[in-house]
Amino acid sequence: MIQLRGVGKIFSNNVVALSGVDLDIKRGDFVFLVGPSGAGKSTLLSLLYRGVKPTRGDVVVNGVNVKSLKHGDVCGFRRKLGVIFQDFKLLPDRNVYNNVSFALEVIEAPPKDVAKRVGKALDLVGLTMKAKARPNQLSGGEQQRVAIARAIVNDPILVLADEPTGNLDPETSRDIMELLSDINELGSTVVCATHNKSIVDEMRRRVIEMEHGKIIRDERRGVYSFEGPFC
Amino acid sequence: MKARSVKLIAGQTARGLFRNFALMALVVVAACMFVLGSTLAVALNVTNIGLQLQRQVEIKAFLMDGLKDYAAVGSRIKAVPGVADAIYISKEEALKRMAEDYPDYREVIKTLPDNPLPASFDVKLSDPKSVKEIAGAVGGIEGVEGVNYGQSYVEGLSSVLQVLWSFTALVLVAMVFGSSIIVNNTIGITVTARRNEIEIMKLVGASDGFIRAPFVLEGMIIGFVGSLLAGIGIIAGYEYAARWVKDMAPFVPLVDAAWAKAGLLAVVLALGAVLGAGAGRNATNRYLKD
Ligand SMILES: Nc1ncnc2c1ncn2[C@@H]1O[C@H](COP(=O)(O)OP(=O)(O)OP(=O)(O)O)[C@@H](O)[C@H]1O
Ligand SMILES: [Mg+2]
Repeated sequence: MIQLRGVGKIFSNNVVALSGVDLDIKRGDFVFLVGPSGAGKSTLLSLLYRGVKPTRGDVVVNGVNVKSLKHGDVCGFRRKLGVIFQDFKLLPDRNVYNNVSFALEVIEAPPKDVAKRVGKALDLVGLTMKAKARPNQLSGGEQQRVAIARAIVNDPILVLADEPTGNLDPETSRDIMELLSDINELGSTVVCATHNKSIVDEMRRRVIEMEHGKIIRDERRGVYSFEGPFC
Repeated sequence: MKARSVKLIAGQTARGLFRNFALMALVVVAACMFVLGSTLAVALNVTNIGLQLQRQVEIKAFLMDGLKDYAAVGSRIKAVPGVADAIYISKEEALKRMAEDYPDYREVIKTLPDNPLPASFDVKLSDPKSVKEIAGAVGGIEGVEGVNYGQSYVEGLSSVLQVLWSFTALVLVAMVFGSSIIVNNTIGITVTARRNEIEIMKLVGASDGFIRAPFVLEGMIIGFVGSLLAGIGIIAGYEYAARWVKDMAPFVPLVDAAWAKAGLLAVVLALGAVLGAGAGRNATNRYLKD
């Protein structure tokens, strides 16, 4: 699903965000991306949806090398992905239903499909009852559920989440992570950057730890930080 | 007034202006297109007058003194490409015309011992634009002493037309540029206001064309409606000016045909729509480039 080979990213201000990153993620994986602030987690996720291009190396997502992806092909590439952020990025003047249907309308999905798929996505995130509410009438957790519904409404093969629980309380965070886990069960590969130690430790999924733009640890059923058996 | 209040009021005024920004762009586009269209209309008519004057240009070919076989020279002049006709003016005829044209000299002419005027041909042109070349060719014919076609007048006329069209082109470019900038800025405000929406559209895989469409359309509407306002003004002004000229100077040949006005309107409308669409598209570039 995802292959990175010798990937480096240097921003225009000469900040080295990633260097020498090699990584393989299989279809159906659920991966936590952890590490201190500035380690390069967001940059890595951004490479995967082609928000930025790699300075060095190859990034292959679903068989597509994003480096050689033509500008006009980026939109088609992104239609197979779902992206979620810490700040939800909802449109305040649209209700829940319309925030989700927006993702289908702007890619000109057949109108008869839209209602069905939005309904399914809202059902999955448990917001069917709030379809008519505006984002400012929802709690943070509910808003993130809307964002998740929008991300999955087009049945993505890969879901990328950048600190999806960063603005949420522990209880709500757990619900959101469980939701992502459900989505993974339904077949989407999930890559989730997070600082949420307790959830990562509870869920025991694959953990990739980064520091200074490099991968320093990659464990099958890992914990947030490896501190030795006696800590 | 306190500085705080001034800031508050200034802020509110600015926001009000922004809300009316599309209207402002419309007015500016209309003004620019009005200037553009009026300049085009004036240029069209002045050019028409110029062409009419050029069409009246004749070449006078003076014959050598004592030439007998002027008919042969006449047919050789008529054979020059671009010559429509050549009419023989004998020495006597020339003198008669001079006496008619300058009655004050009539007495003087009578006292002349000899007729000093040469015989000549009045050469009429079918292709007035090549008067210079034709005059050269006619001047080279054996038996022709010299030619006269009012060089300075003809050249003056064509340089006036050249200056006129350079000026028109300049006005055209300036007005298109000015309208484009204001439309671009206006739509840039809408684009910026909707940047979150654009960001999401990009994330979920909307095509550039889809994202651009509403802004291109908005630009096109501003350009078209602005041009329409200008067009109404231009046509009304044209009618008015044409009537005025007809009253004051009926001998001036105006382009008053319906096709000319329709053409002018079509050019202005098309230009407005295209520049508006282009400016709208341009305004989205900031958020769509890689
Ligand atoms: N667009 C950008 N331009 C310049 N530098 C950037 C840009 N984005 C990120 N960086 C820099 O790249 C480095 C990695 O940033 P990144 O956002 O990937 O870290 P992160 O692991 O996501 O951190 P956090 O946990 O705080 O979100 C940082 O030093 C950051 O300042
Ligand atoms: Mg980050």
